[in-house]
Amino acid sequence: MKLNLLSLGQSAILKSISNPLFSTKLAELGLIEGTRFSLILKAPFNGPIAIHFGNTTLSIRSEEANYLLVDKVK
Amino acid sequence: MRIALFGNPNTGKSSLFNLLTGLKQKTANFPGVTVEKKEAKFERNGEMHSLFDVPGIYSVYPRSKEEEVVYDILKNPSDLNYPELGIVIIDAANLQRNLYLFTQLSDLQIPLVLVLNMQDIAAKKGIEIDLATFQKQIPNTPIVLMNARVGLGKNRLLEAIDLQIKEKKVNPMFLEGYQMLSLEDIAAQKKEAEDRYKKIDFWLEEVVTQKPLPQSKSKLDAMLTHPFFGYAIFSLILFVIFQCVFTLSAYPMEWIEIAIQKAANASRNALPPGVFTDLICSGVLPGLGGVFIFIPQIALLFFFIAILEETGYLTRVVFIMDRIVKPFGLNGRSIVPLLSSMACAIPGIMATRTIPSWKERTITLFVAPLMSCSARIPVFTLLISLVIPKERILGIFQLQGLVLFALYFLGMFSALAVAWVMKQLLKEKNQNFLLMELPDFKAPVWRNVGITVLDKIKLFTFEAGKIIVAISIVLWALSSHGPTTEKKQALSCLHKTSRYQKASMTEKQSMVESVKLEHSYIGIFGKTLVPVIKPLGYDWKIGIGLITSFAAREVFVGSMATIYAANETENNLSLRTKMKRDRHENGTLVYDLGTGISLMVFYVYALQCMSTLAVVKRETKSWKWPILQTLTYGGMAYLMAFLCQIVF
Repeated sequence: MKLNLLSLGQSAILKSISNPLFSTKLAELGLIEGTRFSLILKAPFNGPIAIHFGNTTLSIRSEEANYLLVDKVK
Repeated sequence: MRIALFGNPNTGKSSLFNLLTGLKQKTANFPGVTVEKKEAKFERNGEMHSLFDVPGIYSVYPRSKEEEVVYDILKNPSDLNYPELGIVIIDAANLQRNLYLFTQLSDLQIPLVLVLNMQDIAAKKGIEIDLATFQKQIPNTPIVLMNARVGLGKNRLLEAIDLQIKEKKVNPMFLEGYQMLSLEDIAAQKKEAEDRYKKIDFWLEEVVTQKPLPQSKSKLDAMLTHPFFGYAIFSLILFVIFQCVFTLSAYPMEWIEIAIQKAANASRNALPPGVFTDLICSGVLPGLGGVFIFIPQIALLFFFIAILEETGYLTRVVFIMDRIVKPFGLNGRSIVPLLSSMACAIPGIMATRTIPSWKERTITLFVAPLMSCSARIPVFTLLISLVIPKERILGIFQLQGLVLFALYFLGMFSALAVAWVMKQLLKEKNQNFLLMELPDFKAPVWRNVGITVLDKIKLFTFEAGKIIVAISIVLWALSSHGPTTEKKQALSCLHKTSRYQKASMTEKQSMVESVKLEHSYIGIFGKTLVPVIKPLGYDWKIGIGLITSFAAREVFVGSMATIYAANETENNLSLRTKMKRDRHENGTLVYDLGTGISLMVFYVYALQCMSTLAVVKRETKSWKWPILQTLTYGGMAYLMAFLCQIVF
């Protein structure tokens, strides 16, 4: 599923990223396919979202979050 | 030796740099680019070394224009800035991600010192680091434990630097045969990231133990990004900041005014009368006063912005504002530059460097001058006091204050409108993303706040100050000199009129002064402008004010003072009274409501600031943008002023 469909507080594992440049920049920050993260904040009015992995909290614009395919963790 | 300080953003890098260099640091630019380079010289064991701060990066491959400078330096070992020794500061609470940059730099075979910072915070998060094992894995890089915020470990770091200056040891390669990749080779960069993280994870297994802690959700973050409370808190903070900036700065501004006045009087008394004394007292000193008067506001505004930045709150502002300003072609990161521009557009425009997108950055710096800066305040206050009555509306709102607020609002609204138009016209050059870390909240480090404030004051004083002073001197020269023959003719004409002959001694004198000023170079200049500005309701005196304030808006008030001061006999009257009484030749008041409002609106739009143009040119490396700004805002100013003259 797309990252945008995840709801607040849920955890997921990153499956793939459809934009190569974005994928590279995220990888450099340590967010690689297979990394587990949780969605911790959503800005109002469909604004950016913030995810937490390792000890990093990262904000991503919601349209860019569409590039991320994830598997929900129960 | 040339030493560079590297680190991820939010690792305490600037705290460390400030701790090591204090007030000795100087700000320059990396050659050929407009990226700030903070640098300081220091002495160890009789040798001089230079330490410079590298922009905060996560990887040697850039995410923005600003980061590209680091890539360019590291790509080329013969570069003048290529570091002979690197200090890498890493956040103990986030070893994995921080070590990514470290291993890249290590693989470039640069001798390094590693600063392990914020171990106290890591410990609170249940992270334990086995230092002995860690050190064994990078045997040739001394690891120094530090707390840069409170200043612990400075001597240990200096000793480690001494050691590496002598030994210049490098680690074995992490990635065998690593060489910096080309910027275009994105696939290979990704492969590098995967390989490196695999190695780092493997490596950290023996070094780091994470004790399981209950997942603490930040209630503060939920509040600060709440659809209602988030914006309410941000508005409240802004309101308090601007209240403080304007009320607190009033006192030092008054002291500065008095001090300059005293200095001018004292030097007039001490120096022999003549051109040189006039130059000092009427040209140079008022010019300097025009610079110093803004320092309190700029200092206060950046004091507050620095605190917001230090605590990590600004990243939350970017987070909640990005969606709001995006339809206007702006970025969440445009908020700080635009707010700074309300003190002065110069630091504001320089702050746009943090915006990674070319298009969003260009739009931000293009509209920044429309945010009402402090240089407009003296112009607005003078004009408001002239044409807006001191009344209350609904018993609570002061009309004069409301008008000032409306002018600020008009500027902001126009900035958004222009931004929206530009969004439709400009094409983005590169792909880019809003990828921003939200750091943990921290108490501000006051040393950092102080140094930021000093840095901004310096920036303003030297970037804008020199132009303001220079223009003030030119202005003085032009207003006190003129073609002599015309002046003589005009005076003899005046002597023949019956109005002059009937007048008293003092009235005669004032008429002569007025004629003299009218026939100075500047008077002639202002008069040639009359046909153009007459539709706006302006006379030649306002024309002079407009021309002289093309360099800097607040010069308008100074020019008016100069022009009206020529009436020596009325010297005891305030400038406000003189202007209020001034009439056109047909007997109507010069400053009626229409002219006053039209003039204020003119100043909302017109790009009357040489320093801004100079900074935009420097930041965009082209004259195209400053010229476009001048034309666009000049046209808007004229049009809107004309409309106001018709309406009011």
